[in-house]
Amino acid sequence: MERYRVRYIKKGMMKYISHLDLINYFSRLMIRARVDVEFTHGYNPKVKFEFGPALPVGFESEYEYFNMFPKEKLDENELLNLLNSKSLPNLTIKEIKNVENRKLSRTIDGFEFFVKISSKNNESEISLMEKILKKDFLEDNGIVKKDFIISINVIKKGKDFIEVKWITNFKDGQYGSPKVVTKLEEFKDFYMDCNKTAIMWKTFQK
Amino acid sequence: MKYERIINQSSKPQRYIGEELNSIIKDKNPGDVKVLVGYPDLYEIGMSNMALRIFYFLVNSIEGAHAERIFTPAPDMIELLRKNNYPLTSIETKTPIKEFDLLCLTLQYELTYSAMLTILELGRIPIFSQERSDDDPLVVIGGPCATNPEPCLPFVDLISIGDGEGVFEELIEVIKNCRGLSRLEKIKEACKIEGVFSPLVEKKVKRRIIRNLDDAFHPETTIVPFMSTVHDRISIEVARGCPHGCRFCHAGFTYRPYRERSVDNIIEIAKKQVESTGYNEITLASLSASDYTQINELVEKLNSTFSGRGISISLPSLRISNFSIELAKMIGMVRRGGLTLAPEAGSDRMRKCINKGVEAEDLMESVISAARSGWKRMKLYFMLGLPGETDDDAIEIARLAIEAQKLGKKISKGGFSITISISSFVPKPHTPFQWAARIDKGSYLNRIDLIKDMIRGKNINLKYSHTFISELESIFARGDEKTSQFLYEAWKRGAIFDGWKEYINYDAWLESTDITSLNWQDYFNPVDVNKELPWDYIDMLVSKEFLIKEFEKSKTGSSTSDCNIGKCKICGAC
Repeated sequence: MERYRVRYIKKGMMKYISHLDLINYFSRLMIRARVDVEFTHGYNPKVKFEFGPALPVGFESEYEYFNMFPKEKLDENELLNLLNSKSLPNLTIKEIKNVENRKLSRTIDGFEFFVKISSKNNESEISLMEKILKKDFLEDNGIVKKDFIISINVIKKGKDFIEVKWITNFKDGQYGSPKVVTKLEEFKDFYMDCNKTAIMWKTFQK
Repeated sequence: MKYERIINQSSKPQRYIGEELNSIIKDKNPGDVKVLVGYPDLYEIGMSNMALRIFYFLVNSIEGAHAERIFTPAPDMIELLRKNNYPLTSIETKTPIKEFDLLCLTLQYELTYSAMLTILELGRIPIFSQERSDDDPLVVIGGPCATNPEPCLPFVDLISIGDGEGVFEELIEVIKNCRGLSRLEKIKEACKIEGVFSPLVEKKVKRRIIRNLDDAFHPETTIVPFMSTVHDRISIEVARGCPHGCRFCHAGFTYRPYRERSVDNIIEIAKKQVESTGYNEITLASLSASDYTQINELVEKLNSTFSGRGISISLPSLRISNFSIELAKMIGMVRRGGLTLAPEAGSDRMRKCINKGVEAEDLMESVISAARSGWKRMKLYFMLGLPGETDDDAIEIARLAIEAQKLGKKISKGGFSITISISSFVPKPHTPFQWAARIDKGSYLNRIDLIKDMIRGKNINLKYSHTFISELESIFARGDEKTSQFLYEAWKRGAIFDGWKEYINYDAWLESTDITSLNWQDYFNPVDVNKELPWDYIDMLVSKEFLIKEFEKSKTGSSTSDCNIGKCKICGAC
């Protein structure tokens, strides 16, 4: 049994697919591509995967990961092309690598998100969002746990929108997700567009 | 962009985003005929429908035409569309439905009519056909409920009766040839198509039928939804019609005669479907899968074609009398869920009345087959309120279930669970029971209680249908002209998704009752066989004399044998 790490993108309308539905999608992809993969044991065998942490519904991403388990060693390039020949355009696979590490999430150090918040009706004050989108503010008000967010930096600002780079670390399966802002009462007059733009790997690679 | 913002706020955006594997967006050429194929219910319900699956790919395979899908948005999305003043759009390209040439809806269930009106309203298509302009799509309905279209007549332009394959090709030709003509001229031209008529032209039609199923189009792929939907698997139609003449059954009488697809054809379709979808389950769709002449050979061949690939075969509600151990083993081979059997009535006497042709010992044989092959869960379908039924017949339902459970437990040496699922009988048009009475609420609930008393403490699950909903079904099943007004007034007051307990709007229906003075009981009473019925102008090929004879036979418990295909000319369908 081999372990291959797969990086795929999740863009456009695909951002509305839930994590579980995505796992089903990739299961069917393996079957369509006729890759000889391992199945789980038990009453209802499923394609064996190890998935990265769930991306919130509504977020786009360039860096989504899962591990797959072909029964035999395969050529990485050929596998990538094969899977992409059966893939949907906004869920294309970007990289495949034969790896040895066990838990995918244990090798991830953090994420970088690009967050754009725009007002729904051009009248809501963007300065309100600007106040909220600060590491100190979020931590001091208990909206995010301490030491989860590494930094939040404003990239661009307009009358009715603000763009920030939001960098969070990832530990014990948790991270400071920009999604928490959407749950606030103050957010109700705004939209959030979010794209995971980078992933930080732990410096040791086993 | 604005539409995405709207979808974003809905609870399940996946119902509206499209882009599923195998969904089709053809290149658009000017002059192309734009067809919407739709199901008036939620996405997750409509996506399971076989007719939709067939017609979507059929239309897309025609040069100069393309098909997109439409469903009724969920209540939260309906609100969002109204609040944002945004028109209803197609799934694939998000084009306003008003811009299509044809809006084709399949009516599978009476209580989807209100959701159909909502599609029209949200799409800004005038509800009443007489108010539509030349720019509006032609609204076409088909499917089982179209065989009594009286409740829907004011709202539709064209009605297709019988097999739809062939109709679409001809309708598309009509649109192509009639560009620039008025909508009435198009409709008149379309009425020349066999099986098609319009309330705006003449109320008279003869059912269209494809005699050889292997000649009929069958899709070689299926759209694979992202979200979980009903029947989320490959569905291959192995046969159409049913050789048994169960007297309550609308499908049995309106889809006859029984026709099969050949084994080789099915295998070819299955291979292509698995390859293009990645699904690991195939349903052999038909009204009575175990009646398929070569069912054992078919299942064996499917299992060997896909051996080692984890593809499981499932059969919908099985005929009890021929569910053999051999068959049970073959379909249980890969993955096993629950097994569903439909005795329909509790006593042998009642089963003879309804011409079900199944005895208690047949059921027990099936339980033995199933339990020996490792099945541990079984669902039994019954109806209450069949003509001639008594309290004793209801008690027999409980006895049958208890005995089945005991037998199953003994053989499987451990868990064996039974679920009883009861629906109240609804008299359907074009069946021998179209003249029968509908059971009154009191008697129905009383018989449910009798069953509950008997199964108490025995760990048997019981599900039963909701009376208000069943009564509405009964009104529309045998609906006349007046019921269209009843429908409209209730819909105007917010009635929608009436088949769903969580959405049924009692007030809307009760207010409509007041306004239209519709007397519900009129639609529950027995009907004189000499009286003209509102759907008599629709010729389903089965003669009225035959239906009357069957009705009379039911009163004495006299059975009619199965269809002798090709050799019998009695009912009129062959």
